Amino acid sequence: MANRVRELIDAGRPAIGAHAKVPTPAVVEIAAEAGLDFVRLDHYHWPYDDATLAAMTACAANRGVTPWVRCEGTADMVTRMLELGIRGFTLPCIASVAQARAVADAVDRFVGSSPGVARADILLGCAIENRAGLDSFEGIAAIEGVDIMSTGPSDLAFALGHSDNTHPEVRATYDRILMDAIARGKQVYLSTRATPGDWGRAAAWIARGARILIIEEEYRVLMKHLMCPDIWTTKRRAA
Amino acid sequence: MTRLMPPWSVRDRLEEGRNLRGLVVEIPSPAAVEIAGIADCDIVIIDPSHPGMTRETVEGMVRAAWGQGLCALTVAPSEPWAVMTALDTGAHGVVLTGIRDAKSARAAVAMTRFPPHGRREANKPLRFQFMTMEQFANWTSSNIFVAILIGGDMAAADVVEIAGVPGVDAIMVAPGLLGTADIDARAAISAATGATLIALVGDLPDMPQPHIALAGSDAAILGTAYRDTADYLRTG
Repeated sequence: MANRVRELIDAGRPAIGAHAKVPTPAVVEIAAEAGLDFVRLDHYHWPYDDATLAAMTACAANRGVTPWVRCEGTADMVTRMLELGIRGFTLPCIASVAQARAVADAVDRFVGSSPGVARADILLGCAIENRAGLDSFEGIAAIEGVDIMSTGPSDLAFALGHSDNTHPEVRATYDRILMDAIARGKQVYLSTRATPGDWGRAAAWIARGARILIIEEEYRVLMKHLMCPDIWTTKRRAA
Repeated sequence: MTRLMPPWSVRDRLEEGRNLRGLVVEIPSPAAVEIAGIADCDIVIIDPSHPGMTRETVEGMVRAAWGQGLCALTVAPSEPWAVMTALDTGAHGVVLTGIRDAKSARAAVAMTRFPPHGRREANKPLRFQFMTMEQFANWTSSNIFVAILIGGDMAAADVVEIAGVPGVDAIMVAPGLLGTADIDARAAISAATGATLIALVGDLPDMPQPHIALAGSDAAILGTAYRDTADYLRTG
């Protein structure tokens, strides 16, 4: 199975994805219909049944959208997801070189035992979000099997001793992680809001070399739209 | 300790004297209803025609609506079993499709009421088990909300007559939603003057604001946001 995100980033083009939380293939269908390139299922924080996860993964694959997951960063979990058909990973709070190497090795073992699957079909991302991960950044980024580096402002803020994820130190560290990763030839992955006011920031990251962008959670998109007073008063149709 | 809030109805909400906010929910999950509740909607209209909308899922979505203080209307064709099962979920009412004239509207309203007011068969949704059947039947007669979806093949004269049928609480005009892309919304809304109106907000700026304004469907809102964001990022 080809990986649409891999094809895009190899061609130097951005891949845009949806962050699915609500456990239903309908969200995958909506993303596919909108022309998005991947859908990330949040197995890490939301209680997906195996059957639902399999249905969403199959739905994405059938629509030519890369099935992506955020899941626990262990070899067993990564293997289980690969067997389901997942082809992109964001592994949160990776804390050591050994942990990153273990999951990269699991991907290699899967490829080696799966006829028809090439290593290039899979994208493995490690998120640097805690203190141990920050301390291990260089070693993790040096692992060849780690394709993508990312970070997350909320866990990063906690790691830096802040509760405000917009604190200048958090922003600076966030930017430094992504820029360092780009400088080391890694792909980077980051989130954007669906509101036009945030698109400029995302476009600036694309200009700096970021190629994998995920649109914020579907529930945030919907809530923000519904809570915008303008949609209830302006003289235009909402959707 | 009273553990259960007394049931509320769409009529209760309308009697508060403000226009209500609604969302057509096509994403088959109680989470989709919860999203509408957190975002301050008053009503969800659950469209069970979409893949994944099993009866079990719809019941969970109605339960989520009660949990969020929302009113839930379920869309149903005007057939006795379909209407009965739509209300068996514990929904606050129905949006009925396939109504062509006043005669079919009267027949459909009868499907929503228990004897002697109608032909609905006896059953109490779980939500209402604290009531006797008689209490529930009485509550239903005064509180189950019946909206009629205006279809493209309906003449203005029919809309007027349907709106006047006892037990018809509202007329829903929503071109592009629930398979009604071909209706003349302006004509339908004009014909329904005086009736409680459910319609897309801002669709026709020169027409009266609907009593229940719809933001659209969750699937359409989400799809538009995805498409707009991706288009911008791909083209710079």
